Amino acid sequence: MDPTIQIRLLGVRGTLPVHGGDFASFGGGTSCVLVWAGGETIILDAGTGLSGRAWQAFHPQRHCSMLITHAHVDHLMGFPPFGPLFDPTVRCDVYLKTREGRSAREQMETLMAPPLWPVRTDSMKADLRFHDVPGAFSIGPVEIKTMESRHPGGSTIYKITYGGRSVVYATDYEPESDAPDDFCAFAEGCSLLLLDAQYTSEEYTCTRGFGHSTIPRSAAIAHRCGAEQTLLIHHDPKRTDRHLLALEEAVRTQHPNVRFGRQGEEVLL
Amino acid sequence: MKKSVSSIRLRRLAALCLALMLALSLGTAAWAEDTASGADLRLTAAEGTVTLKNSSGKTLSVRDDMKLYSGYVLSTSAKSYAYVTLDSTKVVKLDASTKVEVRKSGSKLELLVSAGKLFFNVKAPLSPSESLNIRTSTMVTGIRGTSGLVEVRDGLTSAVSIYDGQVEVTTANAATESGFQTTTVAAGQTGMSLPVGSDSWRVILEGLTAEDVPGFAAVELAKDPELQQRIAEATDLPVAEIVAGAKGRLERDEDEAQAELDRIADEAGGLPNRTSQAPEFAAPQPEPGWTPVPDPAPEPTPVVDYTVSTPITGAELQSLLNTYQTVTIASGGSVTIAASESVSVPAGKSLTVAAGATVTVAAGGTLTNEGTLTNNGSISNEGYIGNNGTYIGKSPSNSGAGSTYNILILPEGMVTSADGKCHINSGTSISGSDLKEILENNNTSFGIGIVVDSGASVTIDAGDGAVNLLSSQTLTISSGASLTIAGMLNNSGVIVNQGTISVTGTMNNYGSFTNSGNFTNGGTYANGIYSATGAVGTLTNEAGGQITNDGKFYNGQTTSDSSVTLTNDGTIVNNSGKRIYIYGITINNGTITNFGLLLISQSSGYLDTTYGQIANVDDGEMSQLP
Ligand SMILES: [Zn+2]
Ligand SMILES: [Zn+2]
Repeated sequence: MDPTIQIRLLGVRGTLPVHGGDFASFGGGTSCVLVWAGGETIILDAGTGLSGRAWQAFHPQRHCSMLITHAHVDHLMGFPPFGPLFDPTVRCDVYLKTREGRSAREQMETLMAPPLWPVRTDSMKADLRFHDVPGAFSIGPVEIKTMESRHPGGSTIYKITYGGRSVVYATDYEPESDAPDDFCAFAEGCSLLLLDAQYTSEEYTCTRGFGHSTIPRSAAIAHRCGAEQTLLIHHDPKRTDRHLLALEEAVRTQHPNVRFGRQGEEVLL
Repeated sequence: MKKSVSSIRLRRLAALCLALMLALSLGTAAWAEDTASGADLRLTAAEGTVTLKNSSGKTLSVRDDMKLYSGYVLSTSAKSYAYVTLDSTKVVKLDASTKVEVRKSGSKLELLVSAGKLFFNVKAPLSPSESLNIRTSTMVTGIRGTSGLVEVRDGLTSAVSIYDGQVEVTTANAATESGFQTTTVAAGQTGMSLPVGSDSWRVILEGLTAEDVPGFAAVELAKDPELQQRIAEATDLPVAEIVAGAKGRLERDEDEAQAELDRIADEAGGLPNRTSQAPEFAAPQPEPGWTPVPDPAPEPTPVVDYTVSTPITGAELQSLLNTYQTVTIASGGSVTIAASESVSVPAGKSLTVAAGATVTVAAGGTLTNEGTLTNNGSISNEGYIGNNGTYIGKSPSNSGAGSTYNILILPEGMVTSADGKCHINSGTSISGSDLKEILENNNTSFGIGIVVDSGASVTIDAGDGAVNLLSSQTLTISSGASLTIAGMLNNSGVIVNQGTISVTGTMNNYGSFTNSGNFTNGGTYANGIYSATGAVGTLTNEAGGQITNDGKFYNGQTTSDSSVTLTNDGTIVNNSGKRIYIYGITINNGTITNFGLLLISQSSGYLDTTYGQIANVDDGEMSQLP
């Protein structure tokens, strides 16, 4: 089997979907990343990036696994209308950590129930299986490791390893320093790091505690943990393409292997 | 109109003064570097807005008790004051709207006042080896154990008032044989320098009254009973009255200064550039030019050094170089070599450009060095600068078309040749940090070409930090030369390899990379894009060129890099178990021998091998992934 991991960024916007010409290059869909490895289709988060046909073009599998970081709506809004979940021939394993006594399904049903949403999870035709998130597990030949993030209400950081290559997905993460020991050990030497960088340092003076990192902090962490390639994600909804390009250039003069993720962008590992 | 007339007048004064033989005991490059000997000069306190700049004009953040180095310039704004001390017995206070440059060499100290007032209080007499001079554009006051006040009234007039002790004041005087004259100002007197004709100053002595003691000095008196007693003993000044009225006087001075600033602001109201005027330059007098004035105790030895502290022309500089052994352009001094002028530093002679001084070679002008040219200040070249002698210090900055840049500050083993490029000579090994220094410290705006000659090598280690080749820079590895990248090289310029490049660290190419030699990648090589600037990495492997991949080789690193280009007219070998990632355009007209994996992104990658061939050997595989 091909040892290559393929990654496609379907949504890299944080907090709120945005649209319009000012956001065309980096895209407006919220958190969603497709990973294909070892014949498995893995969907990281189900933000609005999951909408449309982007997922189909990737690999039209009958089975997919969804690794949800947490139940904030920007990571979930793509789930209720996700077409394959209404197809009885599809099986979908949904991983979402039990938090505050609520299981994965219970968390999903707080969103998918009237009056917020007309359709409940049990009306979906696909074989939908909800799971709590263990510290480590596997999906077929693909190994998954997890780490708890620093984010209000909690969030899960995932590391996906296959064929000696790995992707770390760390969105909605507010590191306590430029060199958080636990995270650096978790992500050390990964092939691709997808890392939250919602704010600038200036903004952070007002957004400390919101559960997100800053661009310079995340660039420093990427360098620190020796990630071969890094794409910064969870862009602030007010960040235009022009602003992101300018910030990206500023980062890359210091860290050439750190760039900003763009919706639709693919990486092969 | 008025302004240009006064600047012409200052220029004429300056030129005339150059004709005087004036010795400066501290006039050499010793100023440029602060020596370790002597007590530290410190900015002990600052009130209000105090600006500090170093000798290169960079603004420094002001901290209490910070050390002041030679060339530092302190400026106070309105209602702002600064205290400078040498030790507990020597205190100088800057009045509001005052500008002072500090010069220090060992235990010799000089304060250059270009505007405003200074109060000084030296309680214990200076030792014979120490000196403290306060210099204005028209006079030098030598202080040994005195208190008093130095004031710049305008570009041509300054005054010193003595509260206790006495000082020697030296002014230029063309009528005397030495070219200067010395006047003693005693306690209770004010010595005012007034211009006589265009090249001499006379010191007029007047009695000092309570009204002559400004508020900022009076408040210092009020704090110091011991000083009060000294002044009471030395003068008839009503010390108790001055002390009692000190605060009121200070407030009055501040109000008057404010009223004056408001008046000037009103007058300037019609001018478009009003807001760009800093308060300390809003005073009515022009910025005074520094006129050479001797030290109070001139050396009797023959004069071989000359220091220029004013703007002069190339012709004036040439005449000085012909006369003196060493010519120093001091801080505040400048030379402009005009289009028609040609200046040569003769063999055996020295020209030193001190920190804070500038030399400009205009388009069509020429500066050639046959002797020793030391640049600690700034030389900017729009014409021609040639060096046949010894060049020390900072490289000139070339900004004009047709400039030669055969003077670059280069490490040993490197020279600039007639092709205008820096050559790393055969047998020389240059480190990544040397290379960085050449690229970063030499003129980068006009371009630098570096050639690694046959038999020479460059090694970039991880500890050297990233070496960045900018868009105006080129690096050529000649046949028989080598470049080893164990650290990181980011190319936004042009790299031409005719020799050997070996990567075990990281090489990112955002510029142009042409290989006709051997290029081996055992680390990470990436053709990439700097998206904001649109820079795109292009690698061309020419016929006869050999690329071996034994690491990670990227033609683009994500699908966003679809426009990077790899053209192969030579040979590429991809070793077993290794990958070449193709996200961009790949044109193969040569041979790719693949033992590993050619991984092509279906979304963005493009491989055209119509005129070339790809041989997959053993487990070699081409895989196109969506
Ligand atoms: Zn979020
Ligand atoms: Zn969140």
